[in-house]
Amino acid sequence: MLHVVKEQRGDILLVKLTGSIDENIDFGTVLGPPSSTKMDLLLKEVPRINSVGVKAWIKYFQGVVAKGVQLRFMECSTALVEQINLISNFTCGGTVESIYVPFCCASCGTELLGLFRCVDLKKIKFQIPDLKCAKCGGIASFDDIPEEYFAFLQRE
Amino acid sequence: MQIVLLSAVPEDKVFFEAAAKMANVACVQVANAEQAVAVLLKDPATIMIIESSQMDAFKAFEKVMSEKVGLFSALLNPNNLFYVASQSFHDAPYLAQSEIFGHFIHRSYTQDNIYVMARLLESSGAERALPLEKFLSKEVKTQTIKITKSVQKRPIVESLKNYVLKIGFKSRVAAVIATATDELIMNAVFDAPMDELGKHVHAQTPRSTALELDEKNVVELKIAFDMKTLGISVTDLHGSVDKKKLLSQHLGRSYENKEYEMKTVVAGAGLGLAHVYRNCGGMIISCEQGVRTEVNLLFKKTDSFRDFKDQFRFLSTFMYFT
Repeated sequence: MLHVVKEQRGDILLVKLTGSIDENIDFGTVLGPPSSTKMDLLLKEVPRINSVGVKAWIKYFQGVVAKGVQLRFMECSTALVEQINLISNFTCGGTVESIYVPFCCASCGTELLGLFRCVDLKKIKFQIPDLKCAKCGGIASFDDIPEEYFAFLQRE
Repeated sequence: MQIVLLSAVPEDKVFFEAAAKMANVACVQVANAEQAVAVLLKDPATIMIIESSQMDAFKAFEKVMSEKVGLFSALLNPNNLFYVASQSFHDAPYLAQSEIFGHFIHRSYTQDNIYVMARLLESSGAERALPLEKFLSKEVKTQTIKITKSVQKRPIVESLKNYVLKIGFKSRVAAVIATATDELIMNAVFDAPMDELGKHVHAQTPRSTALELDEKNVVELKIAFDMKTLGISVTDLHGSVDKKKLLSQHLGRSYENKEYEMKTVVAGAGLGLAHVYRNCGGMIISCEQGVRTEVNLLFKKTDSFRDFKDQFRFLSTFMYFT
């Protein structure tokens, strides 16, 4: 079940989504009509989205953007980054501010996530530095294919 | 029955000869489409493996097949045709358009994949494709679940995700497997049922609708694991796959560089199968028209997500008309 927390911060509506997005989601009901001209979405806690969830997402956010709302996607989970890469209009004209980047420790296999701003990823030309594994102190490297995981940033 | 290999790629010869040997079938390499056709005309049960990375060469092969055999000839069984290419399936759109498409083999194979390739060749030669567990090793453990209510999907998918984590798959891979299973169950529940006129019964039914799945609408989920590979199988009792539509409108379509346009007249998204195929190692769709459809997925257990993405990929379709 998707859990939604909304908070008004000045002229920005901050929306935090937690949980999987599937056929049971009705964004119109849980988010309602936009109450601000700017909407920031925090997406760290969205582990999965299925195809009907994608359709509901695009339908709702296209409608929001059509009303003149500026969308910003922040702390996008790896599941959402995959959708942003696979579907060119998934962001509905909004801006992706930051994404989680996956790492895997070569020594102990632990999975780690690092939060990166998109502007910084472009600056370093997607050459992701290794991390120190929090569990064993080993080296954790970027665990995906750069041309695929950062494809949406390269087509901008 | 024999295998004809139309490919000058050296690694293809090594790989497919090894798979043919394991499947106990002779493998003959030919130099051109005319030679391949000559073998086929002598023995219509011939399995053909065709190098298909270049569109022009592939079109030339199709032209020869059309002129010498006929694309809709009883001599030509698409279940016996394997297209091999270096690029991914969605980067070779001409393959999805092929009237005689049977299988796509991505040239990402290694020696470890000879066993699976042999099982695919055996499936082509058999009356029906082999079941999921035959694609895994003998140590396979299998669990079967009958789904009798559509609302069972969510807890089943969440349980599967937890099981996959427990057996050592990475968390991102577990999410991928859960979503792929979610899509297959949703297709079996909502897209497979057709009425007597061939119209989809639930085309406009919201996918959140609670349906009772009795008799012909029961969906079977099979989960199999042999310590190296996880297999997922979803079966419906409708057998309503339209292969041409499946290839051109679902599996062969990409929205990376063009916009996804929503169809508001149907409740489904039309995105599910393409995502499933892109995220699994192997996808085997076996459809006995009007009787049953079985979709099998193979996921290799890897040490990293990057290795998971690099696994051997293929797409197999077996269509049976009675």
